[in-house]
Amino acid sequence: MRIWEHPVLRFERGREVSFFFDGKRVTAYEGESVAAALWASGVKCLRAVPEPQGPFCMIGYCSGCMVRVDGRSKVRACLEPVRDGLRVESDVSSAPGFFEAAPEGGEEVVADVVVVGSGPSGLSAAIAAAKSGLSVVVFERHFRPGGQLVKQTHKFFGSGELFGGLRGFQIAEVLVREAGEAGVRIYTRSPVFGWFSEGVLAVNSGGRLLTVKPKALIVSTGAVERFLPFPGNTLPGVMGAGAAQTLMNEYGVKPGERAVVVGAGNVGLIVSYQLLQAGVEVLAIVEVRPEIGGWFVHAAKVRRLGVPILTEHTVVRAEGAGRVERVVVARVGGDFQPVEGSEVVFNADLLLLAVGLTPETRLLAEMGAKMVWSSELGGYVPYRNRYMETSIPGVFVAGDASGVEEATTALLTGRVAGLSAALRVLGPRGELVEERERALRLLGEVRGTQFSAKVIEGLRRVSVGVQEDGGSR
Amino acid sequence: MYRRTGVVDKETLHSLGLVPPVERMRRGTVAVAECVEEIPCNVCEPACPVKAIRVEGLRGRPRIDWDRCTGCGVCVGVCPGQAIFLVDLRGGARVTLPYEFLPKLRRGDEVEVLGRDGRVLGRGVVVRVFEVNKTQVVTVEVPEELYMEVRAVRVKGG
Repeated sequence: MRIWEHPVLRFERGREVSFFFDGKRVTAYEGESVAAALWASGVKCLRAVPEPQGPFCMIGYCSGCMVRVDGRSKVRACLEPVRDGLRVESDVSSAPGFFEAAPEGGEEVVADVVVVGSGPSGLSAAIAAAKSGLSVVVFERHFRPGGQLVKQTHKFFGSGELFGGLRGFQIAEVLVREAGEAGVRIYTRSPVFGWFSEGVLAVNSGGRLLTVKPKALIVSTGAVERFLPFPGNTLPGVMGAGAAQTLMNEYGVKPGERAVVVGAGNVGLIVSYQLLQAGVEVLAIVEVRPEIGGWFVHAAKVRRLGVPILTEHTVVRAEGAGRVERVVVARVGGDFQPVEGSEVVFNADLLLLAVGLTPETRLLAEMGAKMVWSSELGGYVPYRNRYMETSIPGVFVAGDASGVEEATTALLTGRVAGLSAALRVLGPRGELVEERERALRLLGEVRGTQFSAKVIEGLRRVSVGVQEDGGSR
Repeated sequence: MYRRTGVVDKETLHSLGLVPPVERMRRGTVAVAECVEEIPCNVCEPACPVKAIRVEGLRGRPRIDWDRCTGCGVCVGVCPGQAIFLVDLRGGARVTLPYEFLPKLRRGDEVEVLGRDGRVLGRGVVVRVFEVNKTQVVTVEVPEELYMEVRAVRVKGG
């Protein structure tokens, strides 16, 4: 199920390696995650007890791909790079007491600014802070930097300054290169797992304990895909839209043959187009609301290739023996409930959920930052001022962790947070203040469209003094 | 209506002033931007080699100066929304559109031509292809009455 030819991507696979899954040999390529290699080899169900379950998010948040690796329990296969001879087993025990081993040793990392997360906002924050002359360290839990940009194959909207016209993975390449040139040190496979009152962060860097006490901290941990309740929703083959992107665009692994996509927002529309590029048939996009949520042009791209968009429809259930074999959708009434007798059955082996994202803000919440609920921004987000500083002095937030928006806004809130962190460490500097004002002006402009009305409504509630136009005082 | 269906009708395009006059198309190739919403994007503006495209601010609809436009097709290849097309009515009809699928197209290939709703409208022949950052900009000869209908192509069985 590997993709060898793709209209846009070239998969540079590493050396062939092999590992074992429940005693059976699996062939893989260096650079792949265990989860991707297993999916490519046809293993979709990583845990059959008590119910068959497959991976959902593929970015290290759900438990659908948890396996035992070389005896270590509850390892997320999506964050584990393949290596020769690895022993991977399905992890049947859900009993407590099998948690990942505590990191060993201890080493202190010295940095002015620490950034958590290496997506568009984190890298742009790191670049801005490093260019002002500070030492900057980025911690990334995945084994590859770039966040979710690395799996975006479409060309991005925007202007030249915001990388408009480049494809998502190309933007990631530029950001990683610029970060390197600016002297930013990126630690991959390094989740930040704790924050201590003295201002010390604890990091599990590939099994080694790192501690760091930065002068400023930027949390850019992104967002997580939402789930939907319906019978069959844990069957292997039901996954987040982003998980399918991870498989097909990052690793060149076909997620399925025939897909139904739930949600006609930008993510649902874009993933549908990418599925077609990967050679997957898209049987339908279903959208519960009466209108398409995403940009018209994204909808037009899939409609002219014959993909139906069924508005006022929802998924009722997924069926199949051990994996998705059929997807049942139905029309909904004004109450958003399925209308009896309107069911349609699709013979799909892939059901993608593109029903929104929730900011990943647990680190900030743990640190005691004041959190505010905003349905417009996707969930709990930190209260902050226009410079992205949270209620904890010296701690900043950027990107989707501050509210779910677009990559463009993530780049800009990252730049604002990075400059704010630099100003905190270096004291008032005219040129940095000016640069930050410029980024804030651009942000206001990007948020000036009809689709940002909701976001601006949310921002008003979670920020100190935000104006109607999305700029702020 | 297009926000319900994902398909924009010609009347809407005309009423938004996005369609050049037929006389202009008969004089030679010209760009048609089916960019109906105000997207925060102006990638087409600096890409145009003859400065025929203006986007007000970052998020206006692109306005194309059809007298200035030479029909080169660079905008077709760079537009992230794949919303710009070329039409040429100098003897017969040719439509130029973006294409990002396999097999890659070459001059002389016969393709199925599709409407905005994905319906197969007929067949066409590829007369010109060039590439902009992995997007093939493909010109197809189409039945004359379909110049405002054909907006996608595919290789039969592809």
